[in-house]
Amino acid sequence: MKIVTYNVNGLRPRIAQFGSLLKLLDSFDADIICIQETKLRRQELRADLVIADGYESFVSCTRTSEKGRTGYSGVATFCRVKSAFSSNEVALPVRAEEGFTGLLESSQEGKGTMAAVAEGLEEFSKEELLKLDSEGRCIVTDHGHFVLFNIYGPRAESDDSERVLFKLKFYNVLQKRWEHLLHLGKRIFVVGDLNIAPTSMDCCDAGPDFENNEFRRWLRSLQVPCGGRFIDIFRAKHPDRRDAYTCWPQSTGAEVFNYGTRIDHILCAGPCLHDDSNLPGHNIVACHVMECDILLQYKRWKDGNSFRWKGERTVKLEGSDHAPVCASLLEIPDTSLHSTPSLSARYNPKIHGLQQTLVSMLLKRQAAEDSAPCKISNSFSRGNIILGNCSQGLDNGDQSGFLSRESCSLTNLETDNSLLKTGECFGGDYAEEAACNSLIMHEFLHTKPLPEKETTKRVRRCSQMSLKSFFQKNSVVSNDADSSNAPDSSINKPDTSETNPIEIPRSNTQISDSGQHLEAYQGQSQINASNVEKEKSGVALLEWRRIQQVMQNSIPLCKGHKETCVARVVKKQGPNNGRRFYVCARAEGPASNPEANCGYFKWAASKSRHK
Amino acid sequence: MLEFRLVQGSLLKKVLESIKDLVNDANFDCSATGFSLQAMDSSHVALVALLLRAEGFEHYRCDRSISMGMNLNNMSKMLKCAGNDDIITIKADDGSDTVTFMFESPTQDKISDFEMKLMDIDSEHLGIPDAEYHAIVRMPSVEFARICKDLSSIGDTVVISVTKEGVKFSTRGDIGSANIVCRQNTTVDKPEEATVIEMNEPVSLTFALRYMNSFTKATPLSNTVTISLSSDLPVVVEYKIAEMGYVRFYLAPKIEEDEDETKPQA
Repeated sequence: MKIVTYNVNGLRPRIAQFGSLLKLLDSFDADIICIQETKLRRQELRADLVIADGYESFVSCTRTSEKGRTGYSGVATFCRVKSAFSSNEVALPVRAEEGFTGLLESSQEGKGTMAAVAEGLEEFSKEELLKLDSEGRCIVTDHGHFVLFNIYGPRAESDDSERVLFKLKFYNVLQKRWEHLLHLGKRIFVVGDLNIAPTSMDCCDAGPDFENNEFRRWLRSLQVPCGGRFIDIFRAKHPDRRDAYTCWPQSTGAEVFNYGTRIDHILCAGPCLHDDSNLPGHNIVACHVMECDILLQYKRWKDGNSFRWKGERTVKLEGSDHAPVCASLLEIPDTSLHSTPSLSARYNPKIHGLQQTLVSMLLKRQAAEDSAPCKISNSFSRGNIILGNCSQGLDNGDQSGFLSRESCSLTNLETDNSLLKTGECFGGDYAEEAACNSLIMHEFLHTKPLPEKETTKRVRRCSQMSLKSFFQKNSVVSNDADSSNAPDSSINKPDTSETNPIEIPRSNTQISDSGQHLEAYQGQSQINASNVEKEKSGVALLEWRRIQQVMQNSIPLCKGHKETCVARVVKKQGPNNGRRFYVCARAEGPASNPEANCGYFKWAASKSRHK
Repeated sequence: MLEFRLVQGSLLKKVLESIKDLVNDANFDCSATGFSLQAMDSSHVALVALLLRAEGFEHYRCDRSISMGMNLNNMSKMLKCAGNDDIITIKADDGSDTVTFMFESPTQDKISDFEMKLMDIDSEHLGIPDAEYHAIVRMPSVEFARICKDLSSIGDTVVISVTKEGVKFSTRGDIGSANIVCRQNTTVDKPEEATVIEMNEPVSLTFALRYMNSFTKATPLSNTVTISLSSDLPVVVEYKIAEMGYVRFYLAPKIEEDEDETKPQA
């Protein structure tokens, strides 16, 4: 049995990335897939977003529209089952509830009865519990042998006291619920993006106070070594593994140097399923967990990526900013016969049954047509090649699409050819036109609908010239020579003197004095050599070269790599709001790696005259 | 002491709108002949030059050449407070840390004073040279803005190719490619609707649409735009400000690493 947790950072884009929800889920080959941050809105839930053949889905979306957050947060649990009815599979939950307070489920059934607070949470008021569950952060599924919590933990900036309080309350109430279930003798799996890295080992830039954070202390306090009952499965299996991260901030290029945090977890608590579970050495992890790992192949950044981070993302990467975490369980026996709980998306009338989408309808029709003997292409002798593909049916969606197009263009071609023949009978002009048409058709035939990847790549590779490099492209001088100049040295002199030695042979002089002199000389030689018309552009060229250098050199070079920095503007409210500064353009990474961002910072040379 | 009075205050508003997204802060150079600015964008790739000649102001007084550093975003915030018909006066005392914008409603029944803090900005005057260009295209500014906007939904760069027949704007992106050809057209009712091409040599250059698009923010300033191209110089995109001066944008072309792509396609 395999459990996967994945913060998808928007389910829609991930579905687009994999082609369909089914392909996305199948790619994990897992029995229970817990997804966080679906960013789906309740009113937008459609079958193609949450329903996949062979999976039962349980979905929770945010219910508040506070701060305009409608497509925000949201979790979904997908259970791979052979049968949704009278099944004894463990993956099929016995019970399922949206939220962890018990209040949402009863309100959904709409019986008009007062919602019942989940057992163990009686001490809290309904209002505060409802608020905690209102953001679509939890799906609880009871699989008989264990209760699975799919959690998307709130994120709170340390200076946002309101959210910190919310996060605190969220986990506080959750813990109460867990304790109650454990007290009843249940086993619990907690999976999801908790937005907490438990130890300094789990964060790339942990400071000395890192572990003192109240949430990190809390998460550790839950765990066995600190007297709690939970076990962090990944850590239990890999106690010493460093640089194992599941999330990389998007804005700093953190993937490049694996500069992330481990905030997606699979925790478990409770006794093992063996008869002698009380014996020492017996616990869920020791008895039932075969392996737990981070699925790095889902990472956006692939090590082979050739483009470099240069202050911003120049090429859009596909994928979430998180990587999935997966645990394989052993020796989980089947449960007694049960059916899908009513929370399953298959029973949600809003998702299923009322309105079928055009796509699903057309797909069905296409499937029917494809299975019919394909006569379309038979009528053309050239269609033979395609015949084979066609019989492969629905799975080859792309190819059959291509097929219909090709056969269509073939039809046109044939018509044109026949036109051509008739044209010959009628006279030259018409025939010529027809020939022209068929030529166009030929062209059309050859334009493939697929993007020509090679050309695209080539175009992509073109880079923005700075003014300086632009004017130097004919000379042999490499930019490296210039970039080694101190950033604040006055612009012209060092540059030209370095440029000189190389330019001298071209202008056939032996002058190696001052750069200014040479420039003047060069300008002059150009004047002599070329006609008057070119004189002006020669001067302009030299002038522009100088301007380019001024522009280029007025950007500071970072101290770590002597590379030009990127300019940014302070967005944060405060006395420096709107002020410009320069930082190293490289992606962030561990300080030990000289290739990573060197942390260079410099204010731009402009400041308000008033303090 | 300096004091400039501009009856058509909306002009200054438009000028600011056209450059404030590109340039963060800049020195306004005030001399007896006019009010000018030269500044780079934050990545130091593009250059803006603005000139408002003294003759264009109703009243222009500048005792001593000075340079006033301003945050263009803040300046724009202040100018947005002026009505479109308002008369705008810019005032500063010698050695003062602030500049004052005075807005007078056309009927003179409302007068507003806005005082803005000046900044210290290190910048060198670049002395942009005059040059002969291989090709100069003059076309309706709205048309050019439309082309840049349309192409940027398909690709990141635009190849501008000028031949005798016309000027071609082309791009290529993941979803496909696009070509827009504007032919020379001087037989129009209004001269500002003409597309005029002066060409000494055919030229084809590639530019980042991101910058081109921000240049077109100046479209409200002028009915026509002039694009001057040379294979060895930065492109100049110029918007004339009626009888007063201009806003010019300079941008170095992009180089293609693959030689095949740089060949003119015309």
